[in-house]
Amino acid sequence: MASKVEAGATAPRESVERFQKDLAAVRSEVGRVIVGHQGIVDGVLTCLLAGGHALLEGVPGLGKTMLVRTLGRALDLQFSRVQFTPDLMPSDILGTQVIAEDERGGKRFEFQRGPIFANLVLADEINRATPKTQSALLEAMQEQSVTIARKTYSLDQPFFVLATQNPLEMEGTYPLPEAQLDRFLFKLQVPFPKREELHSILDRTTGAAEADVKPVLDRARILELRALTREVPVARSVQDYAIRLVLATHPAEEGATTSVKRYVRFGASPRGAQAILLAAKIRAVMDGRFSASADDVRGAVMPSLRHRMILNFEGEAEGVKPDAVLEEILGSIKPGA
Amino acid sequence: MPDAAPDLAILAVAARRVRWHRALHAAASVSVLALAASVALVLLTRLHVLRVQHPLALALSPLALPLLGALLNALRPVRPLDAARRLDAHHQLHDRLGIAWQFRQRPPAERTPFMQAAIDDAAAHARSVDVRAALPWRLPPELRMVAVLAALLVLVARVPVPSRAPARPARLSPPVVTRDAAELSDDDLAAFREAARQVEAQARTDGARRGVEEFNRLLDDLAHRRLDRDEAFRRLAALQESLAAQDAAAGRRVSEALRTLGDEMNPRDASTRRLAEALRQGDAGAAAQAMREMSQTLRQGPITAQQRQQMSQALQRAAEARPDTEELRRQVDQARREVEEMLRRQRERALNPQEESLLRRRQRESERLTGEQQRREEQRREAEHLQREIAQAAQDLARDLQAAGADLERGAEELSRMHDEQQSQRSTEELRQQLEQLRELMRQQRGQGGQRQRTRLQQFSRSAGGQQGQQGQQGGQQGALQQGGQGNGPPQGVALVPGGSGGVPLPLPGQSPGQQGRGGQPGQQGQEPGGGAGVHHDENLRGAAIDPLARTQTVQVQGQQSGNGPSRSQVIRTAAGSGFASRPYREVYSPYWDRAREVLHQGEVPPGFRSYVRRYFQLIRPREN
Repeated sequence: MASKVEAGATAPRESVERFQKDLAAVRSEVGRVIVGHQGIVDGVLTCLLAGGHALLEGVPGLGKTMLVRTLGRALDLQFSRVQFTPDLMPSDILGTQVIAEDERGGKRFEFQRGPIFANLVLADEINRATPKTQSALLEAMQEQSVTIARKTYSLDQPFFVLATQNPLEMEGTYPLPEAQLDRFLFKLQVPFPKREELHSILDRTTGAAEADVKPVLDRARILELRALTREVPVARSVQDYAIRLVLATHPAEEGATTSVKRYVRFGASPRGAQAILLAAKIRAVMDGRFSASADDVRGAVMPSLRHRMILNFEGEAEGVKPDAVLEEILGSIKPGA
Repeated sequence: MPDAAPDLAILAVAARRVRWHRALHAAASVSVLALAASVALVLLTRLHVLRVQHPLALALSPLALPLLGALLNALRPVRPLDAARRLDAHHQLHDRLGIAWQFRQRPPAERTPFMQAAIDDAAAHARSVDVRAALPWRLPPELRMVAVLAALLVLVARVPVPSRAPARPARLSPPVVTRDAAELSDDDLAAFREAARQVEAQARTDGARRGVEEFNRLLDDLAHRRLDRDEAFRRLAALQESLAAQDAAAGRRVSEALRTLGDEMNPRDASTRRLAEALRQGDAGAAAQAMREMSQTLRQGPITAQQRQQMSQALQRAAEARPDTEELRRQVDQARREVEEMLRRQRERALNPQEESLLRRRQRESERLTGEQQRREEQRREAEHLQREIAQAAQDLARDLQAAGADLERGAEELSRMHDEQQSQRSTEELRQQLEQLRELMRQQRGQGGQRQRTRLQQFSRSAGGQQGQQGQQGGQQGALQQGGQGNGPPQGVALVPGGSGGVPLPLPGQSPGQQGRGGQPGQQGQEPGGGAGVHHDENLRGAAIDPLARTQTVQVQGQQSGNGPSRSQVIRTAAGSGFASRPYREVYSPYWDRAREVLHQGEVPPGFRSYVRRYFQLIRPREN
């Protein structure tokens, strides 16, 4: 299961092959429960290996929670789930000081850890909590630590948050501010399953048999894989392509397309470029290559940038989707130009 | 870190192929433009919108552009990265080759294991890359347009184009009329144009040719009445100034310099006699020919030792000939000293009138002598190169006949150059005289005293034509141009004074021959329009009118022995009746005019009357028909 190979100590070819093998095992285990959604699974794994967090957006009943739970089981990580509601308090997530009595009858404050203290945290319907609670979670996501009563508690690595939100029921929700959306490496949109996939879902979920998911990666191996992905080099031309794509999301920049100039108020932040490159590296290794290519960059653009572009009033009013704007950018900005 | 040398040479191959592709496509693209330009040029040329000397060359010249475009693109380097992208894209290698090429640009020490692995991976994939498949030869899409334009070019070049339709009589604004335009009759214009042609034929230098061109332009403007009198005189003055700026005395200096050389040569030496005669006559052309013949003689031989010696001595004398300047220099010094002495006296005391007169004479004499000295010095310089070649030939004669022949050949070339100078000077002088004549003619048309001048010229013109004078003047000589007669006396029938009777009407300034009245009877004022020189016949003459263009017959007429020297007899056709022996007028005119020019040149005619002499000969010149 776990490999002791460290990046740099082993030949890259062997490291990459092991990486592929491990990923294939995870996919296989997840595939026992989750039907389809291969792109979502790869996206979530990419976020996990890149050290980022993922925001899953989709209507209820598409298996988001099931996906995260299955992933937690396949990865042999500590899993916790938080259902966000308007009355959820930060302490409900982070933890709180409680009065504890010792053997001698003395009382003292003791920190009771919240659900954030896990490797894999599912923040279900994150947009239903108040901004205050959202901020508490997002701060922990960024800092990888929690400060309670002037005492800082580091979160165990890997620390990976999977947040979900429902795009339809906007009544009584608190949409995440742009600055907080920026903390998510990917925003993945969970599509509705196809007909064949629905057949499989029904077969698996309405029968007596229940799929048994085994852990195939442990915590240490995941950290090794993270280190390995950081070793993957990126050629200057590929990096330049990623930068040009990010710059093209800014209306004032030279490569901005017509849609960007018309509908976008602010383009993606540098975090967007970081997300693209990290994701491109992981995609390259997943594909058995030793360096990220322009195709990898193109594949990472949508999940990395769609939540980092802020539309203007006209864009919002006309219901412009960021994905459409990004499609146009990908059509106009070519690698190697 | 081991620096494996993966086989990425395929990128160079691909880059080369990309370069050739680019060259082909550039050539095709530029061909479209070039062919379009060619079609336009050929079309415009064939429609006579453009007038070019070599239309084919002009039409084909744009076709050099595609070659140039192809060459530039073939020479412009292609980055291997660009070629790698093409290969990656075709073989779906996910930028493996391009990325590996970039990693390979780094020093080996800076490469990470992953970079090296990427390079190795790319090299492994490069083995299966097919450059031809990835970069196939594709014909440029512009070729179709090239073919169409090429066909169009051929069509435009070959299909007969109707000549330009005669211009419709456009409703133009009224023609511009030059007020107070200078006018010349067609006959005068023809005379000046003929003179210009003769001058042009003699012109050897650019300056002389330019002068003739400007003169012709001036005549054109006068013919089209484009110049008013002020402008015409201004143009005349400008042209005269331009001619005056040329060294008019150069030809004379050349002649004098040659004479100096010829005088020193032995006239009895057979081998150099022709050269010496030509030099003595100042004729550089004849001298050049004689010197060439001498060169041929030396080169082809045989030649005796005595002849060599005589020739060498003659040439040596010619080479050492110098204008006599010693005596002149002495005279100049003497004159200067005298002038200075008198000036010194003048500063000390006032000179009496006699002394002042003497001072002025001495000053003029000193200036004249100085000018003469300068002229001789210029003569010496003119002949300097020639004398150097002659001296060399004289030396080489003793050693090497071939070398001496070459020296003389160079001398002949120098003489030819001098001949050209002479010719140009003559042509310039002739042109100057024509300008002066034109100025005089225009001045007499109008202006101060113009009417009186006009009247005088009117009378003079009639006289020149042998026609009866105005106001019923009687008498006069026989008016026909029956010149020479017999004996060597003044030609009979040439009436230089008013009162000529009958004969050919001659045009007045500003009139064509046909406008001139014809004097039919003595004392009768000519009012009817004449038919031109040699067309109508005076009833006072015996015999029938003759055709001026009729074939001639040669007869022998015995000259009279008058004891006054040789004589020649001739009957000039314009005055002859049928049955007379005749000689073409043109052949008669030339020697007379040449003689008249000599007289004019020698100053035997008072300056105020020279224009009349020239005008007279202009009026009686032979016409084309």
